[in-house]
Amino acid sequence: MLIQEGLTLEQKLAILSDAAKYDVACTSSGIDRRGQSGSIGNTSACGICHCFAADGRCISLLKILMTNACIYDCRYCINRVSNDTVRTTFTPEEICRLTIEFYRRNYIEGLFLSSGILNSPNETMEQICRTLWILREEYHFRGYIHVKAIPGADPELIACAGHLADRMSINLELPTGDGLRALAPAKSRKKILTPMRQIQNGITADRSAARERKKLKGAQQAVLPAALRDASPAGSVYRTVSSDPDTKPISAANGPSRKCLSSPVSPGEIADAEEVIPPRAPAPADVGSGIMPLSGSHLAGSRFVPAGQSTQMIIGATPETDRQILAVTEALYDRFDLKRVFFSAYTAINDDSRLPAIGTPPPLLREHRLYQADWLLRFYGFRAEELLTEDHPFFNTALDPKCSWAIRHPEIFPVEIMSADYHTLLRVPGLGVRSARRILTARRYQHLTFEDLKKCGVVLKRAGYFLTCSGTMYRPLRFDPAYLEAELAAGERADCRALSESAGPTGRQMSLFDDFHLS
Amino acid sequence: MDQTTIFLCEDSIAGICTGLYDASASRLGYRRLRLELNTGANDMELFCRYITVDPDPEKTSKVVRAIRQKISEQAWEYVYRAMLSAEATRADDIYRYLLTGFRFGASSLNRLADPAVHRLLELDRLVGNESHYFKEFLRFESIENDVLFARIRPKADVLTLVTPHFADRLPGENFLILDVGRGTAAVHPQNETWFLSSLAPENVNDLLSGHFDEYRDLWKTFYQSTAIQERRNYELQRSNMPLHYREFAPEFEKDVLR
Repeated sequence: MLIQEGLTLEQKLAILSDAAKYDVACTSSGIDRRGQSGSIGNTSACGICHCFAADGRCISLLKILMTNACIYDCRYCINRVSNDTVRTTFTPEEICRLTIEFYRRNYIEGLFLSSGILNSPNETMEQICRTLWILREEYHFRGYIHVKAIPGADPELIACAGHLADRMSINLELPTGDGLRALAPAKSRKKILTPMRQIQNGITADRSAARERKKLKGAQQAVLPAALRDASPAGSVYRTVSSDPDTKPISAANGPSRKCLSSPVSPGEIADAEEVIPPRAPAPADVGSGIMPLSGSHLAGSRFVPAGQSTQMIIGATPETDRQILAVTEALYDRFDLKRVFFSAYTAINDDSRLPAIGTPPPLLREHRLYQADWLLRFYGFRAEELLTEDHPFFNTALDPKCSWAIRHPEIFPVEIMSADYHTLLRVPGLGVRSARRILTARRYQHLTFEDLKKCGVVLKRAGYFLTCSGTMYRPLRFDPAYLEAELAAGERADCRALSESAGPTGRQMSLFDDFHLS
Repeated sequence: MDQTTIFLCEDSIAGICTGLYDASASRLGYRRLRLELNTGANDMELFCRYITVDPDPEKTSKVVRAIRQKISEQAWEYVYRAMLSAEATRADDIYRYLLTGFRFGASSLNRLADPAVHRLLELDRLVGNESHYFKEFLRFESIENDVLFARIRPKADVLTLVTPHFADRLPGENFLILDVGRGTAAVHPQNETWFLSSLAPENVNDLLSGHFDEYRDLWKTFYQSTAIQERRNYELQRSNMPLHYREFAPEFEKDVLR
């Protein structure tokens, strides 16, 4: 492997952003931080996109690798050691300058720094920490930073990065350990889940510390008696969601009941691996000890990964079913408190007998369905085993997961708009969090008709099949699964056209005789 | 038939507020009056009485105070943003909402199925969305003396909503945001509070001429290399970033636009 010398900054940027593009997460959400005089930058909890690339994906952060030189030979990766590509490395100063100058011009919301493994995980992680430290301490950058934790790096280095970054992620790479063994021999489940657990424990400790600080502050200022203060919503009831604007509305309503449900689909993989990694620490863990001179700088009191932790896995490089992938996803949310799990449709870039052939289109529709299901898990109170069963381990390509679920459950529908509770409304296809909330608000003041629903901004294209207002349906029809499936799929097709086109042509020429039964 | 009275308001916050004041002070009743914005080229309607409203600071502050105290602070926020929108009917829409607002107070905003409330929230959303878009897609250019200069061409008058975001974000920068369509500019001197000013279009070229910003090219490089060609999807790109917002974005300059 040859590291090319003497490249210009522009050439390096082209190589190292091209090498980073397969990483999915480019979100800048999860934390509100105001600007400060003497420094540059703030963050916004809703996240801010700054551009959209030709593939339609959001560009929010300067997504680059520190280096594309890598000692590993993961089969699926463009940067594997056996690929003959130009290798180069950014210096920390170059990364900082690019970040600041792009940020000033409002091109980006911050930095997304990942890296190939340069000589050793520790050396790589140290270099990443140095870069972040310079960016935060010398350039006084208060914008968003997302950084990868390098599996196999020392816990101290990961802790240090955690105090400098807003979000950290460790790629799960492939949904199962078998896939990992076959395609990424240098990595193991344990190597990946150990730092993930460390970051989780760090976040938990940091949040409880932040709560204590808040309580202390409140106790000094408040005139309320102590008993009242403990009962206030700022207390510990919804502790994991209170600092989490992303998930607040639903988890707050749904959190407790979700935990009660048992999980018949064993997320075995994750559970097995969990036994060999450090347990969840309910008590504050030691996350502050770092290699960088944390004390004396503002980092000593800084939050630890305040925007949470995420991960991603590659879809379509290994033969897992959607059901397995979704079970793993759920296990990651339940056991590792992840903020997001991202899916990356495998783009066939490497010539390898163990992988789909070069030129195989990425399974975009499958990725889309998984994201839809992911939303159902996080915001709609669904469990993985409700969406996919052993008999149906793959998602319906013609219908979104919520519609498929609704059609299989005629006993629940139709739902009466004036009396259904929030959780039932959320399960109606076509109603989202916002629509359900609007219905709850509006129906306190008047009796709602379908016309009123439209005025509230509720779209009845799909929901119309599943709702009643004062006992009448929106469309005069029977609740017949086959009929519904055909109707809903017809509406769906347009939405997914762009996705399925790349998976092969699915559109067809209309035929007067067949379609209108003239023959 | 009762004659309709039309109040012609000036297109400004004070103009609309004074119109609201005069309309309700006229005691004509909501069925017999309407508010319109004076564009200078209104289509005149037959059998109507036209009253031209002169902006009056005292009436304006009375209206603002009444909304904030008798309805709620939040209602004032919505009304304020609705006044910034580019919808031709906004003055009358706000008047209709205030009828509901003064009747039901703070809870009026929850009556989502009321057409007037629905319309107010719609205007608020239009303006809020557009200002968010410009927080995302506005681009600064580094010109003489490291001053940052941005141009926008929004439909709604979102300059005052967009600027605080950047003032918080870039406190140590000298920056200037110009609303090209309206000729208004927000000026932020280093470490000071920002203010509104105006800038004639012919001065813009002087500002921009003879400067080469190397980071523009670096950004274009990044924009192109970060896209995955196998996933090309221009339709999705367009729905996420409508053409309207690309006018001043360097990555969409002619040589890049395909």
